[in-house]
Amino acid sequence: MTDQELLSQLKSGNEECLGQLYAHLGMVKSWICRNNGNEEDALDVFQEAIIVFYKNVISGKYEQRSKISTYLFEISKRQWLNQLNRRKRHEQPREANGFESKFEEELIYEVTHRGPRLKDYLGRAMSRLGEPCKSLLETAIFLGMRMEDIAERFNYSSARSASQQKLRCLKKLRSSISYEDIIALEQ
Amino acid sequence: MIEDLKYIALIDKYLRGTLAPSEKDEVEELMHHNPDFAKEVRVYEKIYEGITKKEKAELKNRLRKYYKEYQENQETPTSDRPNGRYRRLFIYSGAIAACLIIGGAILLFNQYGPSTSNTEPTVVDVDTTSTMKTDSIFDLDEGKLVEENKLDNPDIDRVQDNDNLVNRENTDGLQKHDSVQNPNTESEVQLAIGGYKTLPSRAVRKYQSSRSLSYTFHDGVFKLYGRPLMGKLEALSLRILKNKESGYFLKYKNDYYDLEKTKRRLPLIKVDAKRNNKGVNTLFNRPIKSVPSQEEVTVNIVGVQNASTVLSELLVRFDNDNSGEQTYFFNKEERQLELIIQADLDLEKAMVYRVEEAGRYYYYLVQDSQIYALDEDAKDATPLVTVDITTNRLARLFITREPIKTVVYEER
Repeated sequence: MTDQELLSQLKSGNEECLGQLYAHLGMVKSWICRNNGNEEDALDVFQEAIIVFYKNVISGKYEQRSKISTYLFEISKRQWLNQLNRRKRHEQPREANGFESKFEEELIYEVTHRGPRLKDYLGRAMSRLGEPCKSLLETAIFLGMRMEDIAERFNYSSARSASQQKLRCLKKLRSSISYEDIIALEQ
Repeated sequence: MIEDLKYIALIDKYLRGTLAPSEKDEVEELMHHNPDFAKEVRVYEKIYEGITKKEKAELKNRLRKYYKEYQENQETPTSDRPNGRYRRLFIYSGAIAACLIIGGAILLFNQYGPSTSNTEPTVVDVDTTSTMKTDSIFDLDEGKLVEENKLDNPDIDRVQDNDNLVNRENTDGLQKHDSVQNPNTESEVQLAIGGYKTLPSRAVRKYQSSRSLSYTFHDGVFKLYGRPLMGKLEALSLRILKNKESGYFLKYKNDYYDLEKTKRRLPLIKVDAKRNNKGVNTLFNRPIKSVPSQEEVTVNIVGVQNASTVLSELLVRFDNDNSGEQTYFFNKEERQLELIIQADLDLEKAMVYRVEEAGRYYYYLVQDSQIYALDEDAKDATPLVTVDITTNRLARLFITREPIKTVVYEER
C-alpha cells in the first residue's frame, strides 16, 4: 500500500490499515536498541508514534511533507529522547526487563488508587450514552476530527449541524455524570 | 449544571484551545464570577480526559491486535503464493513481450537493413548471402535470450519468496536514515545516524551449510537447493532418470532420489527399497541401464542467494563519497555488529554474507563478480581485498553458475 492509499484509507475510517505501519518498526527498533533501549521500548514508542500520526491524520494536522516512515521515525526518536531525559532526571535505575517495571507501576497504582479509574468510569457512561453520540464524541474528542469530516462520516448536512449534535451529546453525557463522583476520580 | 448549549460550546472551545479572543474574555469572566460555570469546566475537563484515556487504551489494544495480524501475515508465505505465481506470470509475459520486440526489430532489420546499409543499387549475390548470415546469427541470439530470460526470472522470484520476513518498505526506510536529521537530537544520536547509507536488510544475509537437499522440477527445469558450493563437474554428474513406469529419479553420487514434478520446493528423499515406490526394485536389483532420451532438462544448482536468510544482527553502512582507498572495519556494539565500508558500492547490487562453517563466521562482500573477504577482527580501516577463488573455497559460493543443459535418461 502506498502512503497515499494508506492516508485515504485511514481518512475513510479504515483503522485496521494502521497495521501496515508496523513495516516501519524495524528501523525504529534498530535505532532504539543502539540508543540504550530494548525491543520492548521500541514497540511502546512506536505504538505511541502511530497514535500521534493517526490523530494528526484524522484531525487534518498531518501534512505530507515526507514519507510516512520518516515521519514515524522522527516522532519515535523524539519520544525516546524525551523518555531518556526523563529517566536521567529521575535517576531511576532501569530494570533490565521493561515488563517488570511496568508491572510495578501498575502495582503502585493499585495500592494508591483503590477506587475506579476515570477511564473506566467514562467507559461506562459512554456505553450508557449509546450511538451515535458515543462514536461521535470519541471521534471528535480523542481523534480531534474536524466538524466537516464528522458531518460527512456521520451523515449530517453540515459542519454546523454536526457541531450542534456534538454539543447535545455532551449535554446528555454530562447529565448522566455527577460532579462529586467525577471530581473524586484522580486518574 | 449548566444546560445551555452556548455555555457547553464555550467550554468545549476552551478545552480544545480554540476560543476566539472575544470569547476568551467571556470565559475568564465566567470562571471568576460564576462558580457554577467553573465547576462545569472542571467536570468537562475530567470528561475529556477520561474519554481520551479510555480511547487511547482501546486504540492501543487494537494496535496490538493489528501488530499481531501483521506479524502473522509476514510469517505465512502461503498467502503470498498466488501473488508469487502472478508475479512469475508477469515476468514471463515481460519476457515474451521482450522477445516480440526483439523479433520485430529483427524483422525490420531484415526488411530495411540491407537497403539502408547498402547505397549501391546493384547488389551482388555474395553481399546478399552475407547479410542473410548475420541475420541467422541474430536469430540464434534471440533464442538464447529467451532461454536466459526463462531461466533467470524464476530465480529472482525465488529470492523474493525467501525474503518474506524482510519488508521492502522497511529497508526503504532504513536507507532514509541519513535524510532524517533532527536539529534537536543529541550528539550520540547524530553519531548513530551518521552520514552513511545503510545497506537494505535483504542484502545482508547469512548462510549456513545445510545437509538437507531440496528441489523443484517443472517445465524442463530441475533446480537443486542446498548445495551452493557444488562444483561444475559434480553438477555435470547429476543425472535425471526416468524408469519404465515414467517415474523420475535423480542420480547423485551413486544414490538415487525420488523426483516428482513440482513447482513447490520439496525435500530430496533417497529412494528406499522398503518404501518400494515407483518400481524402485528395478533400480536396486541391478545397476540401471539408461540411454539419453529426447526429453531435455536444464539442471540448475541454486546459488547462495536463495540458500541464505536475512542476517539481522549485522548492520552494514557505507560511504560512497570517497576517492581514496577502499576500506572497511567492523564496529562491535553491545547488541549489534556494524560493518562500515568506504567504497563505491551500489545500493541495489552490493550484498554482505556471513557464512558459517565449523562454528566460525566468515564475512564476504559481494558486488557483481567482485568478491571481497572481510575480517571480523578488523577494528580499524582495512583495505578491501578481492578474494582468490582458487584458494578460498567458501568464496566459490558467490560465483554465478550457468545452468547445465542436458537430457533425461531413460531406463532401457
